[in-house]
Amino acid sequence: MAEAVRTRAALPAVGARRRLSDREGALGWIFLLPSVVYIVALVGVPFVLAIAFSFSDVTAGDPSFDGVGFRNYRRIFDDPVFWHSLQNTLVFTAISMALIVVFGKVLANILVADFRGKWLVRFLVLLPWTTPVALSSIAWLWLLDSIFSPIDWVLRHVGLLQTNTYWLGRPYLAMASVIAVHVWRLVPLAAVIMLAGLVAIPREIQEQAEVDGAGFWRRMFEITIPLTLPVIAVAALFGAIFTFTDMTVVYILTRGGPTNSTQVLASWAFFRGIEGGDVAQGAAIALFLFPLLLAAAIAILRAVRRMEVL
Amino acid sequence: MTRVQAATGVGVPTEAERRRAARRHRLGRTGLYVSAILAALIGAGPFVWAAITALKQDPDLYNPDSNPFLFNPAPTFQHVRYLFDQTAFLRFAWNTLWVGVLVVAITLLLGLPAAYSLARLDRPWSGPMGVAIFFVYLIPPSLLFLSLSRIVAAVGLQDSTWSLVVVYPTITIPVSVWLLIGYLKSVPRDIEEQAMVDGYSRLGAFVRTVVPLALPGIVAVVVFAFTLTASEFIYALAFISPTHEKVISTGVPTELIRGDVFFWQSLQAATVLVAVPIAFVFNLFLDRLIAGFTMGAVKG
Amino acid sequence: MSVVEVRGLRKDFDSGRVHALDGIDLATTEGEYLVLLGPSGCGKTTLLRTVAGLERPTAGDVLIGGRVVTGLPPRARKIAMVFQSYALYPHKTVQQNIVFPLKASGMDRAERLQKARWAADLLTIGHLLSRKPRQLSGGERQRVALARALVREPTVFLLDEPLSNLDAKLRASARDELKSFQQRVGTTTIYVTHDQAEAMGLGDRIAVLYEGRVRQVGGPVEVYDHPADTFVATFIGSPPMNLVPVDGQLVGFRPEHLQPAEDVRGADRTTMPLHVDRIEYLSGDRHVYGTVTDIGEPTRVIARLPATVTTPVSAGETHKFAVAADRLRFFDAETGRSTAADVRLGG
Repeated sequence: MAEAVRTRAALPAVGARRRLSDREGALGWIFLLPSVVYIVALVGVPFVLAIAFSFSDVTAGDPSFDGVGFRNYRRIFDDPVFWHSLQNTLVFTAISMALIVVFGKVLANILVADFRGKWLVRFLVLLPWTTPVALSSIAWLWLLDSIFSPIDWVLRHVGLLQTNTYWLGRPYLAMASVIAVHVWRLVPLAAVIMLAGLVAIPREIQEQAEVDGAGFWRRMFEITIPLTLPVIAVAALFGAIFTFTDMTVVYILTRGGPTNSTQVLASWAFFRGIEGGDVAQGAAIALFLFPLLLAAAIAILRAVRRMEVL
Repeated sequence: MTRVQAATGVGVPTEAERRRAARRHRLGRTGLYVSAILAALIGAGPFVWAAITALKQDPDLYNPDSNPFLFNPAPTFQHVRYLFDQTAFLRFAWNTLWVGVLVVAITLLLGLPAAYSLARLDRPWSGPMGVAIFFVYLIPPSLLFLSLSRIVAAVGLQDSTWSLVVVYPTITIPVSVWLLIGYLKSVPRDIEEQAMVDGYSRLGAFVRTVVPLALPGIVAVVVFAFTLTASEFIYALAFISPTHEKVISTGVPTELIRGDVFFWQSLQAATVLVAVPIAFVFNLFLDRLIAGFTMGAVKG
Repeated sequence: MSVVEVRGLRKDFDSGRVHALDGIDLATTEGEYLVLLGPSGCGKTTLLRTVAGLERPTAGDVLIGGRVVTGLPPRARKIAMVFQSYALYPHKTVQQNIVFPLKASGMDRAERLQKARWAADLLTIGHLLSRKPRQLSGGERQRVALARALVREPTVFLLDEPLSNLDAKLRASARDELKSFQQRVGTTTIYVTHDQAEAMGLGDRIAVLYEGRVRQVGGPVEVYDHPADTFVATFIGSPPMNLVPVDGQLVGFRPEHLQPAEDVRGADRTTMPLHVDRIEYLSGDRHVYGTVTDIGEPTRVIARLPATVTTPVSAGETHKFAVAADRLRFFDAETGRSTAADVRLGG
């Protein structure tokens, strides 16, 4: 018995410095630092720069930096297109978010069930989200064309339409089209996020509700939705961010027209800043995105925190 | 000492109730299939049309009366060939591909350790950091593109595809880290601790045990990040003008729409050709991705 | 009329490759506490879920209260179920949990609250009504689940291993509460467990299941003393019954019936030399582990000597042990089923 103890290998000297790969405090920082530095450099710095630009007179032609105080802000506040863009941004996002959450929930419920051909349906339903937004917008550009729209063709043949709907040519139709494309594109993402929440509900709770006598709708509103509220909020947040900050759909479908009726802050900033060459003004316009988004995010996160149930 | 008498007469089902229940069950199943088919049609409809359109001959296409679902004159590949021969489509595809691969590599290189730090090394700032990562998305590309294009020009990367490689990780890293935290947390600590007992350092244990086990999740993040990269538009449009350097996202709309002339068939062909493979691969890893969202959104 | 009955019940999974239920016929009597006992995978939970309506059988029928309910959803069957995790709705208070089934059945508010009060008082949780499940202990959660089950006054209670999630100390008292609750209320109960001690303690009758089939149904004493096959014989009882192959048969005797020959009186007994390996001391009993070689093939056996038997036995020696003849059980070596034949063993 005693022999076994003596033949044990000598223990490493106590007090020896632990290797770097073992020191947790340092390791924690070292692992995190590259990402943090990168983000600060390529997000933080440009952000500050954008604020600086908004107080300058920088243009594409005159890149010299001269401070001009609030001149740019006064200019954009005087411009009706700016206010119209702001309003559009808020309206589009609000309506899109509502539709995305509702349809996303429906789609999530479809995808959580078991049925034949599910893989194929999943594939088809993912196409709107996984396709580059510019390309799917092009597909819609054709579908909504003023002369050749296949949608119009079907409507004509069914007898609901006489001539053509100028989907992208009439202000309210154009707005509806932009919202429709946003919703169409983001519903799959929202569905996937909400699917995660649905799957997280223990099966026994659903079955208990069934045994307790709850029918489909009661289960949905008294059990499923309350328990997935946090996830629904995350989906809503993603939907809001992607709609709020997107300029591609507007750029491709309508270019902000007809007569700025579908202009949003992001696209207006692009037109002013890049195509118009007025970098300073573009920056000022784009800066309004941040506080609004921050307010929305905080509101949603606070609501989720209050609903923390599990 | 109450004795509860179970009522055996009232409320006991009859044959008619059984038939009604069976019918309701069938109706429920039918409803499910109908909604699934409807969803699939709405989701994929535009792409089906795009596919058909891509093969249409000009006189067929530019005729408002001809059926958009059928080929009146026979279908033709001439426009698809135009896409490949006469435009830089292949160049765009290649650019998108290598940019995507590099961006994903950078994302993993920076993001995986960051996620590990936040998932495993319980430092007091881990929690708030995890949330802070998300706030990056509140400063969107549509805000940063102006200043970034100045910075890109100052660094000499203006009009170069490399500018995208440098900038895109700002979009992919936050959500990738968030998802990776979830996947890494799902690997039981015991396995790492076992490796450390067996003689590996923390880093060694991480690389040898955690990474292989979290691999399916990591692949899902790779796919997700790639789709974000391929889809990005505003930076690509702002930074790059020469055709040669463009990616699919900006190349296709700008090169195939010359002023008022739309090369519709080629445009739609490009759309379908890009959409299908990406959706296919995404679908393959969807279950993994959902598991990651579960970890992050529900428990994080 | 039996309260719950299953006839020829079959359930296949995995496109027919897995036979979870392989032809089950079972009927309960009114007010009885029937335990479905078996190892994991034996089909007991599947059977319970099929009775509940959560699984559709591949073949066969389920009858509740004499009427066929196969094909009806759970809520049309007038049953109540308690899951292993208790499945309390985490976002609802205790009162809201209890009231939920009544809401679903359309009862009006006043009556609902009154019934909830009644059930809560019966289970002495009246003071917990405004708490949320996460604020309750394991035992309290079980009582809430029972109150919720009770409140509909169902025809049958279905319980799926409700004690498994409790820690060992709590389990004993929870078991006690469960049994007295059921006796008070008098509703037929079907209870699933893999713990044979639990089954023996709780059940009026025990149905032992294995590989999708019922091996034996009977009261605890019957199942213990007269097991229908080797599976039942070795599954019930701890330590399990000793089985020795003898001339193409299996001879079984329980450890508590294998005693030093000095302590087995009576003429009709079988003796066997036992080569002792080791002895364990458990709660005053001695568990003697060893090998018998003389009566059949050499087999490892266990003998359980109660504290009252003080005959000295030590490890490493061979001691003569004996079993009373009426304690021997005989099983067919191939099928494992109990046989009536007696094998005379040299004594």
